[in-house]
Amino acid sequence: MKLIGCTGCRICEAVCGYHHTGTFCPAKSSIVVRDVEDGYNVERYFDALADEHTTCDRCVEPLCVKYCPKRDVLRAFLDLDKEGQNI
Amino acid sequence: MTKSAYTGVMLRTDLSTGKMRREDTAPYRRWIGGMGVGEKILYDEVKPWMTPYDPGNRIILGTGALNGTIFPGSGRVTAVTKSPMTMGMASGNAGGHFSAAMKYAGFDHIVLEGRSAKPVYLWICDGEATLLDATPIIGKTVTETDDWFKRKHGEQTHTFSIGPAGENLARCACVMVDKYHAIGKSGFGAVMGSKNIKAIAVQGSGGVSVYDESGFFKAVDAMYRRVEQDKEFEGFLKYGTLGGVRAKAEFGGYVYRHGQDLNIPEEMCAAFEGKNACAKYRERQTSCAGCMIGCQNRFRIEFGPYAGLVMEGASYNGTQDFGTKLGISDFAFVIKATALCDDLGMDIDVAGEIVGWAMECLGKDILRAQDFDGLEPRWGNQEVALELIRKMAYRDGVGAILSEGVARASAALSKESCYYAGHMKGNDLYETMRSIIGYALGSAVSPMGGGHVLGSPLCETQRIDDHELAFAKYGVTTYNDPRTYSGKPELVKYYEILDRACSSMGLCLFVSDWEELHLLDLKDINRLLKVTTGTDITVEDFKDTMLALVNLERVFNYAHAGFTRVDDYPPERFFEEKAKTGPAKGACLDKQEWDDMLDVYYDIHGWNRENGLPTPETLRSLGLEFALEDLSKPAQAPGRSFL
Repeated sequence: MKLIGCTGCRICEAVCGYHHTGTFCPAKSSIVVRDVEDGYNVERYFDALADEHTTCDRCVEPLCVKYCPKRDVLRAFLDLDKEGQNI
Repeated sequence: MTKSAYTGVMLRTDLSTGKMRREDTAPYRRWIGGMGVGEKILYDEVKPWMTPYDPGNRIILGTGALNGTIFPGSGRVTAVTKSPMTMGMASGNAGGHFSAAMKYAGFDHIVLEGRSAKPVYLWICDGEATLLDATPIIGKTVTETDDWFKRKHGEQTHTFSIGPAGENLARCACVMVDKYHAIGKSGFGAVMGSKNIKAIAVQGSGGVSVYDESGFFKAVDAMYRRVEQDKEFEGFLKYGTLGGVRAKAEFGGYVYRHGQDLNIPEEMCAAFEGKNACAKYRERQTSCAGCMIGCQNRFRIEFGPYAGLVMEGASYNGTQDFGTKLGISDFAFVIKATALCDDLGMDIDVAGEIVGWAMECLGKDILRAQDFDGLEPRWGNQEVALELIRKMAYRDGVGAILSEGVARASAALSKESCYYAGHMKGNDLYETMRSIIGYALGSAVSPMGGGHVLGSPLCETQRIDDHELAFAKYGVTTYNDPRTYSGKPELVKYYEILDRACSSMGLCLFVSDWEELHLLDLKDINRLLKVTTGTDITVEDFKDTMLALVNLERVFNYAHAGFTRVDDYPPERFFEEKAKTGPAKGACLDKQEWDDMLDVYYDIHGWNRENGLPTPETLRSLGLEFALEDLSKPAQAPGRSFL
């Protein structure tokens, strides 16, 4: 889904990668920001399966939110489940 | 193994032979990273007899300890080369996501040398590097090139590329990073073109560790608090560099109609002011990798002759280059001209200076339409400005002369026009010189020939509330007094050190106390070096290493370009013509004051007043014994040979 206000800094990816691996590593992140024509889409891996990304741990105090410059918007996104419903 | 934010690996690429090898970066550790390591390599390996387009010239890309992390401002990649504009040492840096990708791919530095027989690009993916055929993208614009790479190698590919200007060896060509971030002045793009390399594309899936994780996160948290609570930083957070438009206009900081005045009309100021320009054209803010600030604006033009254009980054500089300097009040044109330069791979500050100079010389009947292939560059003429930019990039007609930069173009076209050519050491001048003395000094003594990111302070015109802190940092009382000469050498020295420290760490100047007094200083940066890499040096050691760089640049410029004291004077015009109206009315440089200021500047660096060069004792005290012999081998001034 579109993350309104996202600036594409990809801090969420790097810091989520840190949560999983202890290194700032976007490739292992459970959250992925994609550059689309009119903004940034964000996706979360609920079950990563064969993908090299990692399944979201649904942290109680997620680092991705803590360091996101638009943290309220990202928090609201994380409160949605796979089908886009509020958890 | 101890954790470190360095990958410890440098990639060496010889484009003549196609050979590549990995090298350990440990021998360069004294020079920190990024720009520091790049300048040392250039000094050691590029000899005075090698011209900028010689295969022996190097382009050294560098990241620093912070790239790839989440520290605010950690998105800069640096580059160092021997400049075709000055024949001396050039450094530059740009934002975007390339620097982070380079680290994730496993490299701290990339050194290019040689010249490829065929057009190539360097593809780097997770520790592996290959030279591949660039024929399909030759002649393509930067946007087309970046899009091509994303289609071919995937959306997470980041690029460092040249446009047609670089391919055609337009001397003022720049390198573009990820479409919208430029390593602007000094002709980096032309050096890439001379080596027949169109781009470096990188992708990485590795990670960056830090030495002391808890210490690092504490530093990040503290920096977030500083940025978010700093009232003076609010405008920048909202509008990026456009947040400073009105303040700059209010003290006479804008160059108007190519320097005929330093006062801009109110409607021009209103058109460029952050809140108005963004309300009208901004789609959203964008960020470099790992940076929470988001100072770059993405614009969309809905109406008028440029309707449909979408781009990022028309900035404060653009409002001067394509606005005030050309007598144009239309921000849509600033967006359009910036986008055109970006796409062709040409520096906006050089393009703005040349077009402005052309307009002034035509207006004064020094040059005529026939000198410009029948075009009439008049104040405010947008179409002609765009056509001149296009001609420069393709070296079409008079464009072949103009793209050499204003110093060479004026010398080639008319002796009388040389007086109006704004340049330092042969590199086109963007900076306002008469109304901000410290800023002017930093620009005049800058090794790259002008530019305000290697020593020019901004504090002279900033609102400063904490005078105790300012005095403690600068050690002079005139930090907030733009028209005074005293104390300015000390300010410049302070920022020479800080700017190089940022560029050696991969850090953006906008998170340092260059942009705002309460942000990072050298002490903070030294702490960041420790927590990310474990490097344990004193602040004094760090400072001495940065001063060693300033000294190496001086000696390199003497040995390669013949630059001495006479090259540290701004163009004659700024000593002759007073600003006519507005807040800076009467502003003009004074020769005697400038002389005295230079004396002090050289004294506090341990340099010789006569020639502006380091003394042997100074070189020895900074551990630069290897540079001593170059002090007796001046180049025969090729850096001034266009005169």
